[in-house]
Amino acid sequence: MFNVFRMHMYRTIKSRSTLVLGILLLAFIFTHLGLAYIVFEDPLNIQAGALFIRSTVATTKVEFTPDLVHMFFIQSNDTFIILLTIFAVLLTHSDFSKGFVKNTYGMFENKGKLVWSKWCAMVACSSIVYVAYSLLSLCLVAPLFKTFTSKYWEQYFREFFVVYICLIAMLTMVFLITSLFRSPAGGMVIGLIIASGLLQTLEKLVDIIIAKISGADLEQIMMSSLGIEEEGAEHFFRFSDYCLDNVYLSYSPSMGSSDTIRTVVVGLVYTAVALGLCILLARKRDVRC
Amino acid sequence: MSLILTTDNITKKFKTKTAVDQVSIHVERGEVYGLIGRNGAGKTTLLKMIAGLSFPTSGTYTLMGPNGETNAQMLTKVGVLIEDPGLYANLSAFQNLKAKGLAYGVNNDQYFNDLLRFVGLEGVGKKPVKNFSLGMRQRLGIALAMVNSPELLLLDEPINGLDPQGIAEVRNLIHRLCTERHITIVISSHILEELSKVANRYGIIHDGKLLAEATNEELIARCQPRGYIKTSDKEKTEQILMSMGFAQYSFVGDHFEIRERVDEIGAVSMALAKEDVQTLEMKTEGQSLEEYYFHLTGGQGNV
Repeated sequence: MFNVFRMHMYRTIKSRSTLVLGILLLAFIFTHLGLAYIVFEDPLNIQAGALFIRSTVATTKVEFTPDLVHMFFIQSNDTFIILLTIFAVLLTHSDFSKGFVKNTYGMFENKGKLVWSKWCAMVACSSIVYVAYSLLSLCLVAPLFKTFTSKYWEQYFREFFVVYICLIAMLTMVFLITSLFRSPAGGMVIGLIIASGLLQTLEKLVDIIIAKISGADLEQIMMSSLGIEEEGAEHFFRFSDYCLDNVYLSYSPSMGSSDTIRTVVVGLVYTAVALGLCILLARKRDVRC
Repeated sequence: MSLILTTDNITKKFKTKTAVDQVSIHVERGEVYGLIGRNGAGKTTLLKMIAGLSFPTSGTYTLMGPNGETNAQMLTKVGVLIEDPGLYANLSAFQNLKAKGLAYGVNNDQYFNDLLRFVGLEGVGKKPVKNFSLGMRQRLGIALAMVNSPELLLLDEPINGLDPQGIAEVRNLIHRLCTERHITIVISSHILEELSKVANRYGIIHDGKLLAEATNEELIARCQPRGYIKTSDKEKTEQILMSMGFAQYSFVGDHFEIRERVDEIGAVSMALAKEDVQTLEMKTEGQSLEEYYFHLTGGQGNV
């Protein structure tokens, strides 16, 4: 199994798409640096900065802390999600499309091992990209930005960990969809939908419908859909709380521990289920050549 | 010789279509087994099941190692090239070999270079395989199939689309694999003429069913030309045949069947006339491998 993992790592490192992805990520990190300057360095953009940290009122200039750097460069960066999704799709799909599968996949009676190896390679490659992008963004921001404040490291590491879990879960879903359809289109579309926030809007709509059925008034429903509940107010079940894209995009280090735990659990459950389905699929389905 | 592969009534059904129908083949260690059949006969599906890429609907296959290895152990000793080789277009031949080698725990650059030399691709350097000719790709595909030092090589239509030189190169390579590396090869093709140049045993498959299994010698015997002669006097005819030095003949029903020097049957008739023996009927019959195949499958096709 480790040998197959090594094979996937080798072909990924040597492939041209990995090189292109690396160049694109580097290009986007510099684009984002410019954007970060506009949001966090320009005093006229206090409101833009406030919007970014999901605060409705801002009166002072926003401090650029490590957790905010991470949020700005990774979690709220649509381009990063899209590029990482494309990377996962290419890694998952290339051995289907190139036909390598048919000459290698017969080697194990248990095809689950092959899925497991490929998933490990995908996680390893994505993790390298994630860590490198996080470190590079932090290293570039720290000396260049006057508003950067080196504090809240605990929140930074929590943000780093939770976002990582959710990203891996999303990539595992992409892995499942690509394996299921044996086509890169499905996985890429999912990546685009998540990045565009379209799915999140639909999930909020489902929240409103559920709350309406529960007999809540409109104001309560709207507050609930925004995740704001007054003290003593009736709690509504929110479908979106269990949707991976929503927990990923709405996560903030300022959230309470129960929300953080829920986000992590949702990420882990999605990962386990998607990976389990992939393994089941490989064990039951013929290899298409 | 010992068997390396057997299938026992192996069957594969796709919804309403039965692609492989209760096929039982027997492949002996060290031989080149030719699987012949027209397009859609079920050759690829059968090979995919043996390669572990497709699950049989019913029946089993058994891969036997020299030391009693099981199917699971033997699957790592099977080299596969199903139709076109799976290649990473932007990687070089060496990198493609190395990628597949790593999957099998082989990480020896010298070994990869030796394989490239064996298939005649030693001079390609860092050229990406997308710039290779079809013949070069096919030879690289065979090298890829050999990367795990297989005991059994499954080659599905390896000469498809190749020009005459490419066909000759692949044929030569198959000969060398068998003679120099002692690898058992199962090769499928719908081109009987080409297959007859490399295989020493055949399985004839048609509409998913195995119609016949025969060695090269058996096939030649079945296709051998024969002379038929019906005369008015059996005893005198036999004496003449013996006097003319014929040994391979027999009396079947009401006529003699001669299985040697068939072109001399006219001289036999003249000798019979000199002895006042009347030739009532005389004919020669024979069939090519192709005709024999058509006879078995019941019609002409793309073979």
